[in-house]
Formats: sequence, structure tokens, C-alpha cells
Amino acid sequence: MSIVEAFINGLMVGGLYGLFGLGLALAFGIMRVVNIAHGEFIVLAAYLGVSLLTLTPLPLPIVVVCVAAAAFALGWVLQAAILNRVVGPNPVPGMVITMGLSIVLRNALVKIYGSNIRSIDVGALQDWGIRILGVSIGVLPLLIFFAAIMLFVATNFLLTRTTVGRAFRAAADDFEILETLGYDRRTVYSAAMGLAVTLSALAGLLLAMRSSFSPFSGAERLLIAFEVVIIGGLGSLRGCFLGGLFLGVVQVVGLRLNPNSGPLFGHLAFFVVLLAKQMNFSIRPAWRRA
Amino acid sequence: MSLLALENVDVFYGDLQATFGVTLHVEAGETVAIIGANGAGKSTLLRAIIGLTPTGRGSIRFAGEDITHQRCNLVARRGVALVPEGRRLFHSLTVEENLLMGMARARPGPWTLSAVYQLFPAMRELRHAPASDISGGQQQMVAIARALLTNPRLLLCDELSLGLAPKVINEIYSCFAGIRDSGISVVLVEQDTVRARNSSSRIYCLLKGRVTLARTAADVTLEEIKQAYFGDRGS
Amino acid sequence: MRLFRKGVHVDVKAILPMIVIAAGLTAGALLLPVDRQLVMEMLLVFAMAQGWNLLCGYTGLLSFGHHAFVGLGAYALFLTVNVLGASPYLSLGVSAVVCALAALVMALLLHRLRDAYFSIGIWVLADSLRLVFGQWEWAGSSRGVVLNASAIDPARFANNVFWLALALALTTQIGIFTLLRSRIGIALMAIRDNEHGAASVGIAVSRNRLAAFVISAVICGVAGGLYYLSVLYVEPSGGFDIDWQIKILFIVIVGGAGTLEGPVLGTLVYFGLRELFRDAGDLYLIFQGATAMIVMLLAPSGIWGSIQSRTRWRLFPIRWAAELASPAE
Repeated sequence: MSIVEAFINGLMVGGLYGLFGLGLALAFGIMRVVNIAHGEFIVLAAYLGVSLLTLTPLPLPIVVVCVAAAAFALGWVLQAAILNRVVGPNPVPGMVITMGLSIVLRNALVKIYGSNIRSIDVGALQDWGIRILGVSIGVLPLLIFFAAIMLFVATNFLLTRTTVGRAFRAAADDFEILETLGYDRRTVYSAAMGLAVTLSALAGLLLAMRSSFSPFSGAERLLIAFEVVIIGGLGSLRGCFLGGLFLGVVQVVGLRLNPNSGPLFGHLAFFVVLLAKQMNFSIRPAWRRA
Repeated sequence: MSLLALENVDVFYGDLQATFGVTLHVEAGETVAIIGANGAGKSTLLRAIIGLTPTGRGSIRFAGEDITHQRCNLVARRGVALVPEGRRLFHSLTVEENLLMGMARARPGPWTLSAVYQLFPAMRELRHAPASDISGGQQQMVAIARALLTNPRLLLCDELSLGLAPKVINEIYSCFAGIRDSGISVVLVEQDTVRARNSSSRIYCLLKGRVTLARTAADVTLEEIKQAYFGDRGS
Repeated sequence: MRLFRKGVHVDVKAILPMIVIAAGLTAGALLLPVDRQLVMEMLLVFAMAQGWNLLCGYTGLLSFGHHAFVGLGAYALFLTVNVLGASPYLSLGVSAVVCALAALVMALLLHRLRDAYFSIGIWVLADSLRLVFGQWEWAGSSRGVVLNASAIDPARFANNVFWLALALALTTQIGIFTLLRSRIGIALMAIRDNEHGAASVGIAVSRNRLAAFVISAVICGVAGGLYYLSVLYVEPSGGFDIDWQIKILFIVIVGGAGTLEGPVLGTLVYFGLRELFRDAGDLYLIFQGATAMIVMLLAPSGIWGSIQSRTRWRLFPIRWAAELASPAE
């Protein structure tokens, strides 16, 4: 793969990275909750996809919908049953609880699926490629990239043009006043977490179609999401998207230069951006329009 | 039966007691003012009524129903709205989005988007401005409009005139006739005693969390107000 | 108003429980037919946890990246021994220094990150170290480093390492106990409870936090060095395994963050459960994660924290009491 192809590939996977970051940022921004199990949910979605595809005759689009629905339910229950109890100015309890959850999920996945690496087989689609201006691009990555863009557009629409989305943004600004307007903050939070997990789960499912994963991939996904949030800025959809693209390019080009480096290049880019950004990072939000 | 009836209400902030045995009532359709110096407990009382701050002791009844320990969103759904101290608009939303939030879980009633634009015509030009970009007076109008859009039976207004120029305050208070006409009861928390007296039918005064005055606006004298406001130390 | 330490009039009373526990544990370790390696691991993990507790429970800084120091300490020791031919025991000093310097550099990188951003940020740093060492030819890349066998005396090695681990554990406990009873301890607790309030009375928040950070890093580094010394081999995925951090987290949270007794209890609970469920494999790990969640939800101050709030027992008293000069004040 040439550097140019690596660059383009990086952009395409970056769309998914952006979605990972978006899921984390929504939870950060609206509920001030840090979901350490974020990565494990992403991997869980991939495993669910694998199971549905291999054990049931359901076609891929239906599987995607099922995974999305399951993810929403999972996010809702997590927030409603557990995290709503520890919402508040101190982020530590939420972090410890979700760290514990990540351990539970990771080892449950090992128990159920084993620790082997796997990926989702989409058949012949994996091998198709097209040539644009002398550069060879895989059809599957391209489709996945467009799916990622669609998800961003849909989320932007949700946040800016629907009542639910406005409620999310209002909750991020001032949850007390939101309650005086008749909203139960617990329900808003549960819905927001459901959305956050759904977006990340879908991205995880899509990523699994072009990369491999194991029960231990969760930590790496979490760190990617986190880096995207720092690079792109907390309160903006566009920031998450662009941050994801940037990280994706750095990652893929880096791997092209040094195939054994894992996520190291991404980490380094993260530190460079961190040092360059002259601001304090705390969980303060204000969810802006894209 | 009063629309709002507080009986012996004690509200605590942690270990600190903010109000002591506050008893007051608001009848349907009337405007009641609560005056008092900073820290007298006025804002705390409003927060307790709407349920943002828990009530320690006593009872709060709204239209005969006990709402003392009810969750804020449920109290709001019954028909209580708050125009909070400091406006507190949703700063990452536009003016119109703030108003739409008011309408989202509203009760049925006369206050619609066009109705509030008629009440505050200046808001119309600002509809798409980010709420953080407009002036204090404009924010106050949006805050009132947002609360009105929920079609409440009782409107709690906390320090409307705080930080605003007199001309702007006049404009805001001039809208109250329109609000009263729609049958809404209003509780007006104010530090400006003259304005409070002119805008309401009855006045309560709080001093250090206790009710020190409960009179009709027409009858009460400036001397009585001063006495109740400052207590024995005022002169 | 005079300030005096609770129990200063009977000073022995203050450190007696600690002496009793230490003596009891040492006697038990020496006399009972226990697995020395296990006890040593317990002592080392305990020290790490206590050091981490200093940072989390007393300064309020939750770190998810202290496994960075475990690995760094180990590698520092191994490379010093292998390359410079130094004595492994003295090389522990190098571990300490390297980790102290690393902590200072990390603080520079991370100082703008607050709360969760710090927690995950340091995790990224730890992961970066894992990857760097995995690529670093001189440090053995992913194959790791085997300790130069000629550096140790096989007859006395096991004992030496054991005593050193015991020494580390005791030093950590006594050291932190003393630290917390001093002005610095009060400063740290003030910072934890109210950062702005502490700053407004003149406490140098950043400097105190940095001190706690460096101390916790050094402890983890020396402990990491000792552990890997005892197995004579270190590689990146082991030395920089997040599992170290998870153990520490579990111990402190379940035992009780912000108390000195907590990590003691937490270590006993952790290893007790691990040995009990030795054969359950993954199920045990799932149980471990679930326990941390449940404790945080139901008893956020941990086992000891809950006991403490009910009984006011203090095995390691670090509170000060103010004596009023006269009732009329």
C-alpha cells in the first residue's frame, strides 16, 4: 500500500474513530459521566454481530439494526440502573464502576467466545476494489466510511432539529432548569447514554468488518475515543469527526511505516496536540452545533 | 382553597437552615411579592416550591395537592414554572430553541410561540441568536417567555431586575398585565421594594428565613416595610 | 486554641496496632508453611496500592496508569544490572530515580488534564511506554530482558528479595503514616476536600500533588523492580500490563480509599479471594470486576471506610484534634 493509499485508508477508518469519540463525548458532555467500559461495549457489539451472522439466517442490514437496538437498550439500562445513582460533581465513582464493568464484560467475552482474534466476514465484498486517479481503494472501507458520515449527519440532525436532541443539549447546559420545564433528568440521561452506546456500537460493528478484534481490544478502542475527544474538542460534532479523521490518518500511515507499532503513532499525535492546545481539559461541556 | 399554600416550611442547605417556619399562600389569579435582603431565603423558598431544593419540614400544597417532596419535573407538570435568578438560559441553544424547550412538555393553554412574540416583539429579531450572545434584558425576556410557554398556573419569578438597567426593568414589568390577564398567578421575588409594592396585591417580607410581614400592597407603609426588611437593627 | 495530636500523650498507642500487625504478619510469613513468592507478591502489591492510595485517596487524583511505573522500575533495574553490571539490590535505587524523573516528565505532559482526562491520559502514557519498549531493540523489544544470572547469588537470592519486599511494605506504611501526620498530610487532605479552599489558605496545590504523584510513582517502580527481579525476566506486555493497575484499584477501592487501613484490608481480601477461587479462572475475574462495582455503589468508602464511619476505630490515627482553650470562645 502506498503512502497515499494509506492516507486515504486512514481517512476512511477515521470516520469510525470519530464515532467512537462521539459516543464518549456525548456521555461526557451531557451527563459528565466517564464510561470506562466504552471500549468493551464497542467490542461487545462486534461479538453480537458475529453471533447473529453465524447463528441466524438474518441478513447483514437486519443484524446491524438488531445490534443497534441491543446497544441502545444496554446503554439505557446502564445509565438508569447504575450510573444515575452516581451522577454528580465527583466523577470518581462513575469511573470506578465502569472500570469494574469493563473487567466484567471483557472476561465474560473471553468466557463465552474465547480469547481468539476474529473479524466479521462479509463475503466477497471484502475483496472488491476500485481505482480512482491511479489509487486503489477498497469498496468495503469506502462504504463503511459513508456509513460513518451518515451516522454523523443523522446525529447532527437529531441534536439540532429534534426536541430530544435539544433536550440533550439543554441537559448539558443546565439540567436543573431542564427539570423545571417538565423533563425528568434521569430519563434524558438514560436516552443520551443509549444514543452514545448505539453510535459506538455501530462503529464497532463496522470496524469489525474491516479489522480484527478480540475481547482485549476494548482498551485500545477506549483510548482511541478519548484521544479523538481531546484532539477534536469536547462539545462539537465536527470536532469529533475531524479529530477522528486526523487520528485515523496518523494511525494508518504510522502502521504503514512501522507495522509493529500498534496504536503508538496515534498516542504520539495525541500528546503533540495535547501540548499544543493551550487549555485546561475538564469535563465541562456545552454541546455546540456541528 | 389557595392555589399555593406553604405551611411551616423549613428548608435546609446541608446543615444550614435557610427558612424557618414559613407560612404563606397565593390565591388563583393574584400576584404576590416576596421581598427581603440578600440571603433572606427568598430564592431558596422558590426552589423548594418547585422542588429543586428538598424541603426539610412543613408542607407545600398546590391546588390542594401535597407537593412537598415531589420531584421538580412533576411539580412543573402540575403547572408551576420558574423564571430563575440569573436568567439561566440554555447558553448553547438559540433563543428560539430555548423557547421550544419551554413548549416541549407544556400544558395546554393560551401561551404559544406567537403569543410570546407578541408579548415581547423585540425577541422576534433575536430568534436565531445564540442565547449567550444577547443582553441581560433580552435574556430576561426569553427566560420569562420560556416559562410562560409551559402554560403554568403559577409563575415564580426570582429577582427579575437583578443586574438590569431601570429602563429595561420597566419594559419587563410592563408585560405583567398581559401575564395576569391570562389568569396566571405570580410570585414575585424582588429586592426592589417599590416595584414589588406597585406590581403586586400582597407582600410578604422575609428576614433571615422568617416571614416578618404579610400585608396587602395597598395598605402597607414604607415604614412597615423598612422595619420588616431590616429588623431591629435598621433605622 | 492549642493543636495537639490525638494520642500524643500516649504515643506508643498510636503506632502499637501497626507494630502488632507487622509483627504478626512477619511471624506468620516466617513460621507458617506459606508460599514465599505469594507473600512477597502480596507485600509488593500492598506497597503499590498504598502509594496509589496516597495519590487517589488523599489528593483526589485517580490514576489509571500507574502500571507505567511498575514496568519502568522493572526495566530500569534489569538494564542497569545487565548493562552496568551493578548489584540488583542497589539497582533498585535506579528504579526509584528513573520513576521519579518519569513522574516529573509525565506531570509536565498531563498537568492540564483534570479528573477523568488525567485518569485516561496517564493510561495513554502507560500504553505508549508498553509500545515503545516493545519496539526498543536495546531493551529487548517484545522478547523482553532476562536478568544476567551472574549478578545474583542463587542460595540467598530468594531470601534477600523477600526481606526487601517486606522492608518496602513496612517503609511504605510507616513512611506514609508519618507523612500524613505531618503538615504535608494535612495539606494533602485539604486539597482533596476542597482544592480552591486549600489554595486560598496558601497551600501550594500543584506542588503537593506533584509530591504525592512522585512518591506513588517511586513506590510502584521499586515494587515493580523487586517483583520482576524475583522472576528474573521482564517483557513489555507483562511489566506494563494494565492488570497491575486493576489490582491496585481493586485493593484500594474495596479496602477503602483515603484510609491507611484500607489497603491492608484490601490486599488481604484480594489475595484471599484469588487463592480461594484459583480454579475458577475467568469467573473469578468477572467476580472481581463485579465486586468493585458493587462496593462503589453500596459502600463507596470501602470496607474499612464503612467500619470507620460506624465505629470510629483508627488503627493508624492521622487525625488532629483541636483543643479549645476555654468554653467561652
